[in-house]
Amino acid sequence: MTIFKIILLHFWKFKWLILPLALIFFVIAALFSTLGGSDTFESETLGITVVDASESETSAALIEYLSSKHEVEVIDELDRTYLEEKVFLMEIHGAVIIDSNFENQVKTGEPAVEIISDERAAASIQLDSEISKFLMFANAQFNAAGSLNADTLQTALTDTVDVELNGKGTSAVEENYTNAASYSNFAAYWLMLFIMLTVGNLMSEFNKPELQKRMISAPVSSTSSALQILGAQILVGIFSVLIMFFGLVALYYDRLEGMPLAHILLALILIMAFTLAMQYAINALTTNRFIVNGLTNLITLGLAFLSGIFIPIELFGSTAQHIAEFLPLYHYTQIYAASDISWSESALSISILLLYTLAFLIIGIIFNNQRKSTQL
Amino acid sequence: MNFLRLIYYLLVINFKDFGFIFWTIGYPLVLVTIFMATTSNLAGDDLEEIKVGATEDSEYFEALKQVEFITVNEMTVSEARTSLSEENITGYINKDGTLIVEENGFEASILESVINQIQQTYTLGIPPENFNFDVDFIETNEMETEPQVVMYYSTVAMISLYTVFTSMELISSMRPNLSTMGARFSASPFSKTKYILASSIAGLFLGLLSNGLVIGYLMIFNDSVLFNHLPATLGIIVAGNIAGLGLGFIIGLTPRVNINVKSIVPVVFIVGLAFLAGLMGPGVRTVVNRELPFINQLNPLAHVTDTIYRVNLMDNFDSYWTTIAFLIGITVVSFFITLIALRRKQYDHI
Repeated sequence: MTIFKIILLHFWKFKWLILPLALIFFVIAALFSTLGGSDTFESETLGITVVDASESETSAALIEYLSSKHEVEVIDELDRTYLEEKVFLMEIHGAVIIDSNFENQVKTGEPAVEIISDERAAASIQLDSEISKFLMFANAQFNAAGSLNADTLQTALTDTVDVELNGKGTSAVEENYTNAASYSNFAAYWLMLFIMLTVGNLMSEFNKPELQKRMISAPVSSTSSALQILGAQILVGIFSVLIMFFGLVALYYDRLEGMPLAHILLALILIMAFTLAMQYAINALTTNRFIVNGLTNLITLGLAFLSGIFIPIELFGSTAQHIAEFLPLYHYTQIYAASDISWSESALSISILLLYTLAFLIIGIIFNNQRKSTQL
Repeated sequence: MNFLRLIYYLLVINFKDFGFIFWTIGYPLVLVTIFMATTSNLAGDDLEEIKVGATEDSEYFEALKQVEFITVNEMTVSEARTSLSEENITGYINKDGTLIVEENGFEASILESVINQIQQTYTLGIPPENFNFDVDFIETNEMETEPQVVMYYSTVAMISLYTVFTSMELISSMRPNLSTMGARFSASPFSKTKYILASSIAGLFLGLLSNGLVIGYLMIFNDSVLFNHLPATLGIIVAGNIAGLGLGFIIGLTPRVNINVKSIVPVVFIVGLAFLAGLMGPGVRTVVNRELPFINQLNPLAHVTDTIYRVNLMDNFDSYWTTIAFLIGITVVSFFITLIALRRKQYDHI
């Protein structure tokens, strides 16, 4: 068991890498988690930044109306570049600039506010429609009575039609599932990155000719040596899988309903096995740590992007969507594709992942044998 | 040895290392190619029209017909429910004025807002002649959002920090207790300053070459114009590369750590910083900036990313020199720490 212990000891050297990496992952996962769902209709909440240069009764009423339905940040100073930047990067849906002459402009029926938004987006139309409505009503009050009656206006604006959901809406169970699915998607990226970096760099050192020649002369059979290395790698892999899995359980301990936990655990184990097999093939090909690190980043990031881990696959072009269907990480996500997914429904994706693992294992064995024969 | 000749030899050594070339040039080019293939539609589809069903005797039927972006069709409730399930229409208005939608969403919210407006016009209790239906109360400043550009810029920023690897290797190779070369080097009369300077210049050259290739690739193959102010962009990138050298020196100083373990640190460090700066999509960056803003205020890669898009897409140079000063500051502090850590070091045995 000497090799097994030495490999584990080398893994322990990565502890200061694993801790911050895991910590960052869980902080980001917690930031991304959303609370609950709804069986009733809820209009979309917009992120709006308002600059109020008027500070009048009418502008206060407009801000109160917007704040009742949306997330509104009111700032004092107009920094157009700052606002444009926030809209450009989609940090907010729109910026509303209220001029100092706002009240007078509403009275006389002139353009009274400036909106910075992407006019192509649905959110922009929603924002335009709600602000136009408020301003038209306020203008009508000025025309009819000569002054604004903020209370009557707010009362009228809260008189809304009843909305019924034809579908099931976003139930709490569905929301729980969405949270679990996004967590598991990111967990796969983390697992792959961690395993490929640690195993890759460790094995690139282990496979160096000088060490391999000493191994050959040592009284340990090649089968025993391979089994010990594999055992240590699997142990570390399972440990990482359990950290990710129980991290999910701990983060959402009170919202586990609707999460296909058994499917997620199996998916994590399979992606761990696939990553180990792929890394085995890479290490059989090269011991250059720049190539190992480069491939690690390229494969993890590339697979994650092309499989819809970071960006929803629906936003891809048709060619990219077809490519995604051939990738192992895509099939990983399909193992837990729905909250009520059955084992028979995920059987195909499980088989494809197993086949990928097997294929890389065979490639690794072939290259490993070639490498050993050339070293001797 | 002639100083320029030393730089030349160091460059040749790096160019002969396939792994180094792959990591600094091949990997970024493949990465931006993947971005281009997957992010073209990141801002989402444009809203063209909202399809609505209604009974002809609905009080909203005629009013909705006047709305520019709404198409109304007459249908029964049962037909509407099927159309809603098949996502052929966004909503249906019952005879009693209630609205049926399939699920929550922007189109359903817009439809609800329009129908609310019709109802609220009556609720307000003001005679119709007081309403100015033709007046446009809003002045629109249209922008076309392109959140995917952050991913390209953070890739460029990430590559500008790749000089970390060169300087980390340099310091590790110079430490007598970490490498054979370091032991030989410390016993030789060769000027350490000369060697450090030559290695830094060679590393800087390779970093700039890598950045230049990726920028050139993006300028040729990407549909959008990403670099409107190329010289200013290069200024930031040079500062980023110099900061990378400084950070690499600090990582290289880590005592008694195997180079293989050590080489993972900058990989994780740079990818982590790039992740927070927007490499994996604008979502993470937005959430981090909203919830934990101090993280990206300290993140050099986020500074480089932000400054590149401000300069190129917003014509905003406000943070330009602050970013350069921040990056050079990192380098100065790092050099100072390295100098203190390395000077007059003695070893009992190596």
